[in-house]
Amino acid sequence: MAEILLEVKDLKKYFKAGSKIQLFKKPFYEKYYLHAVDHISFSIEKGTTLGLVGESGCGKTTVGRTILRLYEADGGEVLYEGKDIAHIPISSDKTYTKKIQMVFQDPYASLDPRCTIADIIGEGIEVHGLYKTKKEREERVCELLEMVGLNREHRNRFPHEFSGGQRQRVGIARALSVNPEFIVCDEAISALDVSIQAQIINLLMRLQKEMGLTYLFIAHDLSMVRHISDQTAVMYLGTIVEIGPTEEVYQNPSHPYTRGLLASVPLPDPDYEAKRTVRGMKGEINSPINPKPGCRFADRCEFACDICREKMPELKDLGKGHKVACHFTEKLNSKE
Amino acid sequence: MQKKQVELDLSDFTRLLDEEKNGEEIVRPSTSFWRDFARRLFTNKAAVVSLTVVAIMVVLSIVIPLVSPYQYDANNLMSINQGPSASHWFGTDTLGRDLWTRVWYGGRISLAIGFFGAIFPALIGVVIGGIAGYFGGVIDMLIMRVIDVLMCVPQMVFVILLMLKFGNGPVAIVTSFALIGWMGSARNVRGLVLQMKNQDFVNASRILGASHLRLIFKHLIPNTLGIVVVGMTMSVPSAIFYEATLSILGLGIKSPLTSWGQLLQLGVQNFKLYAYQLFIPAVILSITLLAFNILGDRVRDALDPKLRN
Repeated sequence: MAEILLEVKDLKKYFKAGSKIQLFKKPFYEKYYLHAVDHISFSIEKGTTLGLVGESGCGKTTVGRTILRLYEADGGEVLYEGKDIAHIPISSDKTYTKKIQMVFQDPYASLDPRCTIADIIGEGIEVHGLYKTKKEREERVCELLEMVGLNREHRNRFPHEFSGGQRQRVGIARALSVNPEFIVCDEAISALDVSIQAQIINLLMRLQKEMGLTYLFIAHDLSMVRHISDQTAVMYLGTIVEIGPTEEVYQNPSHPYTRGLLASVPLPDPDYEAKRTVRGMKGEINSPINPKPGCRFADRCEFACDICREKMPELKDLGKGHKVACHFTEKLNSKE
Repeated sequence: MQKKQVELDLSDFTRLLDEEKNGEEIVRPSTSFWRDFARRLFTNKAAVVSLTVVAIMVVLSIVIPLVSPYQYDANNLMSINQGPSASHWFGTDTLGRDLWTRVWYGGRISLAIGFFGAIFPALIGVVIGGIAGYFGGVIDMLIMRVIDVLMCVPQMVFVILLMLKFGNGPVAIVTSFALIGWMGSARNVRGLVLQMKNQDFVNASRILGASHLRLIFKHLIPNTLGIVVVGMTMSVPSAIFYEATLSILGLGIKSPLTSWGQLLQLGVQNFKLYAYQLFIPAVILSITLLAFNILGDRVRDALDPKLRN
């Protein structure tokens, strides 16, 4: 078994969502918390990709940003090579900013409009003092540009002169500039055209092969995740409901939510699409603010019983590292 | 609609070479933000005209007092209250001082007050607003409450108190203008920084390990500069106007030193008998203010076409 690069243990991130005072009701004073990430655990082996999927608002991005320490974790640990980094403020740390990098979702918002491409890509090099002379820095910037499939002539341009796909390549070059080991791709392709998405995915996979990178690939495009990930984790309202080797999860989905999610992937077949009914899911996503006890999915699950509304299910191992958080996994699986 | 058949001959076409497929060469030359701004500004007629007017005013204010045969404060009781003539182009005032020289000498003071009165409040505002916006929390709360309180004090009361403290010269006027003017730009900058500090390009630098100073000075402030420059161009005329108001009220520049506002004040006293003493500085002041106002407007449009309403 390969070495584990990053391990997240019991990670928790709540956001304050206001408070209210009630004069004639109990409790008198109530605070609201948005449970963006609620006791999440997973680990990523070196050189592999973990795909994190889930619908909008389920906390995927918060997981990524908490690992990067853009948000301070409210509980739990983020172990990078065995060392807890969750509580080292990002502003006072030089070691791990060099090792963990990020590719952003929106290539239009993630590049400073007042900086040239060379400044953007060269920033990490400058901050970490990786090169001594200006010429060396310039060489490195050109090398990075070519690595991601851009021309070296592009370096003195400004972001507004590029297309979305090109900007995303610049964002990848920026992430690579400090020779990181681990890259969080936060919806790195969802803002791009389908044809460009394929290019960027192939670029990411090529770089992984060449440089031995490890990815946390956050996305809501299930087919893309299947293509790129070794492991897949499915999130629902701040919790992981299913995690395991990608093919295992896709071929043998064991959580009602995963099943519904996979059944809703659109196929390019109008006859099939017309007949399709999404099984296992009803209603809308619940509010993540002060959630009820029990399984988060209980209100939408057609199999839900009393126990689902009382007790939060733990992740149970079904073998081969495939884990599911559902009280009725065995029953559901045996039914079919 | 008539369908047209186009005959195409295969021999007219040739295959592109691989290096020709690269279309990068035909892209327009790279433009930076400020170059783009200058191009937009200088293709605008009103902007060019007003910029020319401002330039003429500045040049005349610098040159005329140097080359004029008269001193701005030299009395000549033999020739008082003379109308415009060949020897005194704008006439003379009640003490026989040459108005042509005095108008341009006053221009120096007024324009200097305009420029410095625009720069200083903006500088203070950028620093304080940047700090409040970036660090947020308690610091932000304290700074913003102080600004709220200061903004509640009527400006004239403030100014009179400051004048009592600092005396009345150009420096005191600029100081007092800066002390009441920085709050607006601080609020602007704070709002912008607050809005920007969680944007992804700032996060990206943060993840790369950039320090607070680097984030503020390399990313946040350059991105607010557009708005700050607009604010500055807009506040040049208001600083000049402010000086004129104070001088007319007798709180500003005192004779024999002069400024456009002070010339107006003297002109008002003799207005019934010697109207030119009021009208000439008034026209010059109005033209300058108009030019600055139009220029400010056009600068705003050129900096960010989206801001145009």
